[in-house]
Amino acid sequence: MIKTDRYARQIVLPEIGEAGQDRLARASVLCVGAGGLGCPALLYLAAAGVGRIGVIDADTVDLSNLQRQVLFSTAQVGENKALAAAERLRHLNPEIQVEAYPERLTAENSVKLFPAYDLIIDGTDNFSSKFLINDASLACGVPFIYASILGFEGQIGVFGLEDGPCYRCLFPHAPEGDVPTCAQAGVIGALAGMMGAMQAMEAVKIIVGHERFAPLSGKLWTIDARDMAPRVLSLPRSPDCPICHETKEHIMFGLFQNSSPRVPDLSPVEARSHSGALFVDVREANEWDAGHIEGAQHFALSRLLQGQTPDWPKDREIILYCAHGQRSLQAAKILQKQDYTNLSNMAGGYAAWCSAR
Amino acid sequence: MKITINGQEKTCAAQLDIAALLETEGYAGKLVAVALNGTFIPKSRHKETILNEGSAIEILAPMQGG
Repeated sequence: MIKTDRYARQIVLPEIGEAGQDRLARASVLCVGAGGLGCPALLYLAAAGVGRIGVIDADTVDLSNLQRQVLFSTAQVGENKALAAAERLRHLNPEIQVEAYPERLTAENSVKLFPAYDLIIDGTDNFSSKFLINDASLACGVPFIYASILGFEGQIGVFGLEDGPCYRCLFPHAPEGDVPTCAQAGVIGALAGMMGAMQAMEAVKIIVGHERFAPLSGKLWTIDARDMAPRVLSLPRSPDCPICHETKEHIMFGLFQNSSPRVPDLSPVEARSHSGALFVDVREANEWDAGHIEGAQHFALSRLLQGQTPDWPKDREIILYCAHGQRSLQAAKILQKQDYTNLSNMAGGYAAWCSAR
Repeated sequence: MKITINGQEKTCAAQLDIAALLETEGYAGKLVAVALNGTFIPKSRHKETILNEGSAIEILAPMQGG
């Protein structure tokens, strides 16, 4: 039984109504990171009556967080953020269930936690977590609401929703080298509030699902708060995306392969200049028959997965490729374990090779 | 010809493609996403995508804060 007084101001909206409120009450959202974005997002989701809310964060509240992390009080400095957030949200709305995970998001816990929720909010502050959320979200089939902020600038989009794009369609991989963090470059609290509130807005729209709601899927919304100039950029699924054309099983496998030594990426142009290297096509026979790199050898990933072993010299320079670069990375990880020492992965795969010609 | 980059008007050579624009703007080898007239263009199409008079370009660097 919904206590309608609490939600009266939103139930009166024709797009929400009793039916929408009931959907919110039966919905579940996991917020990864209770920081500048997570705090406002969590407040609005709890206040709106989202029935089950999870918070995962291993960090503790620091005095320098309070300028933007509005869930926490000065007295909570030193406490774990997930636990402190859950306590505050339970006070705000005792009608909902709040689950706290005082731990860091990993490949292992993400694939256990994500399927238990309808939606994920990305409130993280680092690339490795953002790519992990993206990959785990695709592997588990749970969409996520991405946002990032820095200084006065922010960006937000919905990824992994139905046939929409993923974060790697925008940026295929994390940048090399040093990219500023909020700790280094600074951030203004009210901007974190705006972007986190927008993430909650997108979550409410997706959960309620009214026909007049258009979630930010296939779009990236950006803002520069200095002049409040917003831009909405259309983001179709990218043919270059290294991951979202792959099966859930392949993506899941890839999630757990990140711990072994990194296999270097070569662009098709770089790969072409390695004239002495052996190109190996790991796609299936029908894909190979439809077209392949001249002089390449064919050894399908499925054969490697069955335990078959090729007999190339272990120190030979080998450049692996597939359709888009994900299966060949998986193949490289397997060949690493067979003591091949000079492996590269061709980024973007055969599709990128053809378009780079 | 005149184009805009992140809202700023610029003059550039005619027949410039996105890859060449990124090079002249100092983004060579850097990871950025590029939108032309409001739509992101995948990197594999940068070389074949020619800019026109009045093209509006957005160049976005990845951002990790939260």
